[in-house]
Amino acid sequence: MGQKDNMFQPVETVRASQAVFEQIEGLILSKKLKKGQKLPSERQLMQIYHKSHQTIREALRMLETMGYIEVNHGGAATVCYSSDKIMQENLLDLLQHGRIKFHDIVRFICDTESRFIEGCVQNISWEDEIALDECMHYMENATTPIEHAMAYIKFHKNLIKITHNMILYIIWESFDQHMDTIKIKGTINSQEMSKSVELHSMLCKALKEKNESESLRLLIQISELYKSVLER
Amino acid sequence: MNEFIDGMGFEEVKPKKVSEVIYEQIREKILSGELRAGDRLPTEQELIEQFQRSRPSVREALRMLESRNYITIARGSGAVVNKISSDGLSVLLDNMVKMQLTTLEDVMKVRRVVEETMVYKAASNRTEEDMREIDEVLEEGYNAIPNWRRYLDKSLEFNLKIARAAHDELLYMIANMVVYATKDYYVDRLSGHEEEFILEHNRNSYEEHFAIARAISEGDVEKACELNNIHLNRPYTL
Repeated sequence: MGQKDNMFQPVETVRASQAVFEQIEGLILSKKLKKGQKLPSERQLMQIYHKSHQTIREALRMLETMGYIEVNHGGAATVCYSSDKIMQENLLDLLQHGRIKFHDIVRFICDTESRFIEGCVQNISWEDEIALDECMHYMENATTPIEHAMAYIKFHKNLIKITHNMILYIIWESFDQHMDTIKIKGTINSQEMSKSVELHSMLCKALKEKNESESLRLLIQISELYKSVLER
Repeated sequence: MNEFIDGMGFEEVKPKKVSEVIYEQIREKILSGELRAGDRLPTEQELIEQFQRSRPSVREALRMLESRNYITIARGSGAVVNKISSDGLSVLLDNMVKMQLTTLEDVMKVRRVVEETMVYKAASNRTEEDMREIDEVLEEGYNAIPNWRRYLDKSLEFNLKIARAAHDELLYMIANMVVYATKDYYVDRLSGHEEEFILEHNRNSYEEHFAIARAISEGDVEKACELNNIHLNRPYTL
């Protein structure tokens, strides 16, 4: 009897569109289908897989939603690597759905940023400097806590760029986009605001001089300033 | 407000497909909380009537929602809304590594800093319930020492339990994204080694995790961070 028990295994069925999706996904992730390469047409795929037009279309839409392919208006699909875009969208979804607030973001930045920046100051490029200068200009002209908060996030997004770490940039970029949808309570007073502007501008200078220890010292000072605001 | 960074380029106008419009409407309702985890979506027929669109369009939209993990479609019983979680992020990050949009070294760098931060926070914010869960995973890890793949899973799970104990939603989100995406890194590094080496490695890793958990439990922030640093500096840290 024992043997007979094992003779038949439970069967898991997968929807046809899911199976087609998974197969093409596998081909893309293993680079058998490369970026920029065209997929066969819908009609050809129907013949290859012996599946209906509807099934093929569903699979293509799923691949598109996951950022594996781009479909042009004529319906031709090209392989693209857009997991970063999807990741950014997902992060933003999570920030919005989780009702992550401005002070949660600031806390996260204060907790982690100086450790990410360590060792990166030498990498700062001319473009980075210009971007930081522009943020600085914006921060200097900010008159309300909300404008200041916006400038703060933009500055730190451009700061994290010097790490050349794509993951960090995506995270910080999603913080920036999230700012458009959240309410910022004006907890920072004008004295703290001008202190923040002063520290950020000194940080800009230290970064341009590629002075790592001074940059880190200032970053930590900025974190402390914001942490004290958050704790109120 | 974005102008000074992004410039004011005109974007290509892409006509939206019907399925995309339906997808976005349902997704919005899920994200806003109007549709909650466990809620059942209207049947396909009802959706067809409400959207005044064809069955193929509605089906495509449902598949798109499913591939992004917003809903689960069980055969015969319709679509149910999933809990929104950061679990899907590590798959996307893994894809990014495979597509060479980022490197495992960069993932490890983010993980290191996130881990340092969460150990620090866990030592001050953990509750008794957190400690119970951490100890449970530790014990499961101990039993898994002879089987390195299982030990690896338990070890990653241990990390996420600590992230939970930090009681910082955003930090947990990011931890959940990077922790599992480093799995391949360890599989690569460990798979070539002799069984004896891996056994020894797992034993050491367990001892260190145990010590970190004790320091967190005692609320000794400094000691927890110090032990964690030593642990993170090992070449095959898990």
